[in-house]
Amino acid sequence: MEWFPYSEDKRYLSGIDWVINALDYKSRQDTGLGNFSQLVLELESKLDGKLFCEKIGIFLNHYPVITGRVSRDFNFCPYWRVESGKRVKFSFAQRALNPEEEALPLIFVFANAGLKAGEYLSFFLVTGANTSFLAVKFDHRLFDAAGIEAFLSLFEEYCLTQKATPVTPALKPGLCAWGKKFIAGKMVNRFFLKLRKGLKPITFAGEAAQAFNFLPLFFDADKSAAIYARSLSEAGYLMFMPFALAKSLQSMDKAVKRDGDYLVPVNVNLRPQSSAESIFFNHLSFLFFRVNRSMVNTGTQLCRELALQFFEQTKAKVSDNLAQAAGLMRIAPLPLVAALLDKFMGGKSAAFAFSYLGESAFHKKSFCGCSVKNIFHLPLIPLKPGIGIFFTRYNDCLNLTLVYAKGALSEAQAAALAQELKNNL
Amino acid sequence: MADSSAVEKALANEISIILGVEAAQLKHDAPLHSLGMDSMSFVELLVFIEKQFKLNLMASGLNKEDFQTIASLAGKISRETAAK
Repeated sequence: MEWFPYSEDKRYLSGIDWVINALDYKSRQDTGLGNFSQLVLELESKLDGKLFCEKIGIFLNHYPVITGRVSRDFNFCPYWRVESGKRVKFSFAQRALNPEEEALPLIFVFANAGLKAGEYLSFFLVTGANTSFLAVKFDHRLFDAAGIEAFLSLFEEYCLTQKATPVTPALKPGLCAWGKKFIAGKMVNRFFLKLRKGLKPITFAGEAAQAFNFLPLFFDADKSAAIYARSLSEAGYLMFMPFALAKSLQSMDKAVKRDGDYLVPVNVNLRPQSSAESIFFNHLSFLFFRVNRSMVNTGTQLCRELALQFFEQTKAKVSDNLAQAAGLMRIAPLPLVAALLDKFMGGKSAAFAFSYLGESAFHKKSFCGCSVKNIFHLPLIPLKPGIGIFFTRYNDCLNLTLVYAKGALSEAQAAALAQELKNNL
Repeated sequence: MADSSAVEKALANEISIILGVEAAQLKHDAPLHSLGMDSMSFVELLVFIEKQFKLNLMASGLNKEDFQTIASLAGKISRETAAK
């Protein structure tokens, strides 16, 4: 049995949390921005900004974990040091739309602004006559994408009941089972050696970019149902992820000509099911898909190839091994971890980042008295690869966001890629 | 032929572990996606099926009729093991 000094002010960081902290460090070095993302709620009426700001301020103070910072314990294990008693800091800004003005360009500007020091959440409300967009900027060191959705669900429950659900995000230091971690590390090392073998490096025009462009695509319920029906016939039951990845690869291949194999890292959610205990911090890992360029335009065969890689990596416990092996890196300082992450790829990079979150963990139909029309994400991504394709779903409607660092794609390439994605799905 | 009810029980038990819910809560005739399964958890289940029943169902096309519920999947496994 593992002994650990229990304290409500201390939450040990997992290996994946430490990797996310390293990505935050690297993002700050590369772009001046941290590793954060935006969740956007589109509401069907005008949200009262003042009332929202008051309510969210009270609600956030029920969760002192949002005041914390990274620290190191006497056993060198990194932990999140909760500064109980401090008020949770957050930013809130509001902007009313002028007639003929659109909300999304304003939100894209917000998405490119960093968080203030000591803040992990920031809100930007854009209101029209009968509509509102609430953009929630969240620091990935504290929330992953599914976590922030579940957190806003808790907030909506709080608005309805005036009771804040208690959450104690405890995690043991995990300074045990070293043999298991080292074996996982060995497996990960072998996996990466095989993965990167013969991979051509990709040159990034966007390496100096300090801003990101977003192209969100929204599909209504009918179009989404048609896309799911197509995924069923082409990839099989519950195989939407390989289907969406296949369509993304085919679109990328047509719109952005590139040589060599495609390598795509894919986020996977490791939560058993959404629970309050897993709202804070990161509960994810990664899978890596490599596809020969000649394979990309083989239609349904590509879906089958990706499904097979998915199966083989799950069987080989790649995502579990990565999570285990990452635990070994917690001893290393963040600059070293960031350098090690680059080393795993042998200085080479993925073609683009991809994720499919599945049905939103925000299960409510309303938010602060306004009906929710849609929810989508505007994530920032590391400059390598500098391009991301992210699928989410809310209320049976599919959303897709194409994100790219300025310079990683030209505007014409991005528009062509978005059009290809629309055509292929 | 593997006993279909035993297969159903084994599948329900594994799904409860994957999803972190009580096995008794799982409806055997409900679509797996309505139980909270997604691509990741479904593939974990297929890996379990390969280990437990020595069947690689990835190659079978994963059609909705055979894979949608615990009961239909148990039927598929029973038929496949009998045909081996």
